[in-house]
Amino acid sequence: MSTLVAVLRRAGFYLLALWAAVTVNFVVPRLMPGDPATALVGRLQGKLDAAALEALRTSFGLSDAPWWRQYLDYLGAVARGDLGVSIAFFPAPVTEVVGGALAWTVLLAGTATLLSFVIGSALGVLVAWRRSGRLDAWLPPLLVLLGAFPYFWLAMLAVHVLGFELGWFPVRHAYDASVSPGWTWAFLASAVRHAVLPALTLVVATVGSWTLGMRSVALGVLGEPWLDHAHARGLPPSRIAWAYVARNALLPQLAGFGMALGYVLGGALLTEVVFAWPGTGHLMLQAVRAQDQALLQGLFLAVSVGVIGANALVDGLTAWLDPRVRRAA
Amino acid sequence: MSRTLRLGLTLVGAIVLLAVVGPALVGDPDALVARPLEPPSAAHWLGTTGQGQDVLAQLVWGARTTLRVSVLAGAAMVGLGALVGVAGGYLRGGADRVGSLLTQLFLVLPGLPLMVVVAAWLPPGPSTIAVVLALTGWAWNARVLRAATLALRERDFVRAAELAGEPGWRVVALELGPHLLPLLGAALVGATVYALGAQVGLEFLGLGDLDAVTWGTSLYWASNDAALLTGSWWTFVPTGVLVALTGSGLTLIQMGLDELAHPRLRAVREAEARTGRRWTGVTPVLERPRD
Amino acid sequence: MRPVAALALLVAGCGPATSPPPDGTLVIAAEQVPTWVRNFHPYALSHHARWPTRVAIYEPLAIHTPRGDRWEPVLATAWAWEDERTLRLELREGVLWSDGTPFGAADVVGSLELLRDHPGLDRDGLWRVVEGVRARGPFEVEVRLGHPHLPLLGDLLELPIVQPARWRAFDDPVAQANPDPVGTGPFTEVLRFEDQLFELGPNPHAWRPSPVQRLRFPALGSNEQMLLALVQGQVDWSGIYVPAVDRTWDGRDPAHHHHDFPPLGGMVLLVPAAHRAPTDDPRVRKALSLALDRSRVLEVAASGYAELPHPTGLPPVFAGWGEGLPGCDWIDHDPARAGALLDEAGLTRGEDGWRRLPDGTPWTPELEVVAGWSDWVRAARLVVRDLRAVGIDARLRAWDFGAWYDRVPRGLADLAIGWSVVEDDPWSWLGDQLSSRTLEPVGEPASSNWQRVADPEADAALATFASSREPTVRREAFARVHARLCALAPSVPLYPGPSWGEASSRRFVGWPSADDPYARLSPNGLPEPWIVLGHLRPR
Repeated sequence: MSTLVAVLRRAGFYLLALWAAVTVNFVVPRLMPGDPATALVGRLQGKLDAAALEALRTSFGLSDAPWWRQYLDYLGAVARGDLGVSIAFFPAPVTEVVGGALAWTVLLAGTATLLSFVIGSALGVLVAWRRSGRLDAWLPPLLVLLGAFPYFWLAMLAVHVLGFELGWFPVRHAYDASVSPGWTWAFLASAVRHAVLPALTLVVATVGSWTLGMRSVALGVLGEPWLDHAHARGLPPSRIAWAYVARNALLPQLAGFGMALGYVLGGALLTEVVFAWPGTGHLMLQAVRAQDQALLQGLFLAVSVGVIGANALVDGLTAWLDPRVRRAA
Repeated sequence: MSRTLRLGLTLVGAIVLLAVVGPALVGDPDALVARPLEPPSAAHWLGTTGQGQDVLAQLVWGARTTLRVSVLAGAAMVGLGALVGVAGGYLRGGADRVGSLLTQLFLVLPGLPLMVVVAAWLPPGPSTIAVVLALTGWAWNARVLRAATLALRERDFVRAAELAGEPGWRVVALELGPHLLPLLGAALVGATVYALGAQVGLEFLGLGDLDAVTWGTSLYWASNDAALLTGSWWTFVPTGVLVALTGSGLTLIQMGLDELAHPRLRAVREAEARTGRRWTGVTPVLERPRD
Repeated sequence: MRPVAALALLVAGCGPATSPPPDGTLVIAAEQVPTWVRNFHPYALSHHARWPTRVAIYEPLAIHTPRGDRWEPVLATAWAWEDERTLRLELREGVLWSDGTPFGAADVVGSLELLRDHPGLDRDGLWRVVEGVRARGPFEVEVRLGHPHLPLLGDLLELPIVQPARWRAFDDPVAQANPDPVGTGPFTEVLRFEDQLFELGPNPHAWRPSPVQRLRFPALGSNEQMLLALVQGQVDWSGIYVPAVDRTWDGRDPAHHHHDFPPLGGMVLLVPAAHRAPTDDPRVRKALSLALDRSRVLEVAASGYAELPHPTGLPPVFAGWGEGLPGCDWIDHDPARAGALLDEAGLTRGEDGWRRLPDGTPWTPELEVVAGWSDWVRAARLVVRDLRAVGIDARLRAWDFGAWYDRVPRGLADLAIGWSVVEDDPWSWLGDQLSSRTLEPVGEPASSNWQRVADPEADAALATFASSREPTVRREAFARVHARLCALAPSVPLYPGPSWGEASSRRFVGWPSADDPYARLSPNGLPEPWIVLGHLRPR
């Protein structure tokens, strides 16, 4: 009974969060000054006949209706899955524009986030286990230093040195122009090859925070008295490290991981810009610059749903991993 | 004091010194002193920018603005977070429910995109960046501080103060405050690191004030002038390294503070120092903290 | 970390990182986009495949190039005014659409009528002037004007011509993505279309087939990536700003790398608010101009690529019109005269050295500039410096484009850096400077004339200029407008903007050059690159 209440409560929160996110998505782009249709003309440094502009405003879905009317229309449209048409990509529907970019973003940022989390957490357990060793003395500060470089700075250097000067890696796009997307070996190899450098820079820049977080939690776990018990039972140290320490230390880390996973849908904005990656982050910058309200709304919605979904997922995962919670359920 | 903390303090101290004293020693960062993109020379130790300004002067003046904005934004983030978190944790009830909901909502809102949008909307300038960062980054601190406050308020000394009829603000300021201080300090350092990175990133995207001399705008101009393709590394590399040193110095301080707050770890280190040998395997429980 | 490094080496080990474009494929990077969306609408403003749509797929009646101020006939072979209100067009015979159907007068008439019925498509407002259009024969069209207006010719000739029946069949021709275009241009077949790349193949029925086999358009979202792709040989033709072009581009392969930055773009202006004091006084506006050290602005903001404005203040495109006209006496750098003019206008220096308004209140104008437009920001910084040198306490204010565009066209800025659009006919440019046609009330957005100057004398001369077919009458009218321009100084020219163009002759030859200046190299002015496309052939 109480579990049911707790679950319902949680679901209620997520619904509320979704509503709030949708509302913020509505408000924020509208706070930007200026009229998107006029700005579009201005941005091209061109001219447009007044009558044509008025007609286009209607086509863009820009209305002068009172804000509450617009808000209700917007809520209704979102519920129907209709995110409007993009102004920058007119007349393409936002769902189409975002949909295309989402796949590439998930591929790059998702893989990089996962890799970073796994590698970082493993390193964290390792340095905590060998605390005060040589590894613990050098690895965390080194990772801190790598993580402290501005991300785009690392990426630009990587593009220039590893990509341009040495020619080891492709420096733009998600696959080579000589192949087309499809389930072919050539395409997959090309896609992997193109993802390596951006993913690598993302991992290098973010792995440190997971390592430090994991190290800190693992150090706490290492102090727990039940570990003495495990030692006393004569369990091998490697089993203690991974099955006991890592597993217990992972739980608090999962919340952060859920967060990071959710943000994946927003795209690694700077990475995508530096590597000309056709993802959502790159699109978002474009949408901001073009004052493309509908596209911004769509992108925000994707990210919000992603974050909320990932949080819900992590809630579930925590319950499954943590025997205490599981038993209570 | 641990090695980590010492290293961090040294790094940050050196950079703060640069930001405070440096500007008096170098010239006007905006002055067009030589031909554009001149390599480092005796006259200009770090060469000139794409406009012909002295890179060293830009770096030093940039340190001042960048650090000031980072600390300001960090403080605003922690302040806002503390307001919501501590008030919620202490008062509980309806106020806490509203505060927590707000916190959770801001946590699930996409931060960077929101920052990009808000930065585009407000008139550009360093203070705008600080406002944007504070608005989008406070929630995490609120969550941490609320949890800490909730734990503290159950403790005997808080109960005692309340029973003695102390008003709420006094309890928070005099009883909770000192206990939250280390946490607030660590949060401030963390928030400053975050603000530094975000600020440099936003400015690099051209969303900052291009007229201001900061590290982020220096990198924007370097990239705009194709620093790497023209081989003008001096406009690009030193700034990035300085950002990295500042960021890692701050993070090391945070780690050092963390170690101070970890009594068991400290005990291990002290034991190691005493015996001169390294513990491997399980942590010996030398003394259980009595709290 | 070790497995990651091993994987990296493994992946890096197999073949070149990026394969070179196949022979015969011309790679063009003209539009900065993060991703492509399939859209080949010839009249839309903002779709992303705008370049090939207006250059390679659809064709207009004729194309103007500012280089030599020349018209190249395309679908029309001749055009002439029969009287002030009647234009006769002779069309090219033997042209087929890419679906094999013949092109003729009905297509031109139908395209114009499509614009009449869908105002959202009529971006130049042709139907404000046009009264009617009809076919006089299978290859002859007559356009009737409501009132005499010669400058219409340019907009009309460059209008892309479509198949009217096909467009009438669309539910909403304005919001039509037109994914499978049918045009008369040299490249109409969409061979592949992906987020990051698309390719066009030749029109099987092209009346002017190209020896180029296909066009490729990679999606590149930033100047840096475009430049890198260009330098790597992944792009043959681009129109970006290139910093230190000698080192970054030309110097890497002097035999094959070409650039051309002629001052034939729009004029970059300092726009004063002429509708309020003290910049309502022409003396003050002239003083602003005299205070500027333009050669420094060119060196720093335009990287030395631009040139000083002509003494007449006219864009170089109109050099022919300006021949023999006296220069304006406020285009050179003369701070002493600037100071004298300001003193004369009553803006004398106070005790602190800053100039005050005649009533003694401080004058602190803000110069508003778009935050992300780096060349403008640089120019603005120097402008502020120069203004402060003559005692004007000016400040720089950078806005995001949206905010800036919400203020400056509405006349809310004291001073601004702005642009002016240069078309084939000077009527429009002059009108943007000082005619009541372009004047909007303060608070209403204006598409030009942000300084808000309207001069009745110039209006009258412009009307004569627009309606007369007599060259001597037009010249005389032009001279009168120009005299008013010099007298009023409605806006202050900073420098004529360069048209950026870069190309590599490693794989394709026939690019416009100093020896063969048939058009601009820049791919940015649509549909002018159509002319260049026609000259290109694989090496």
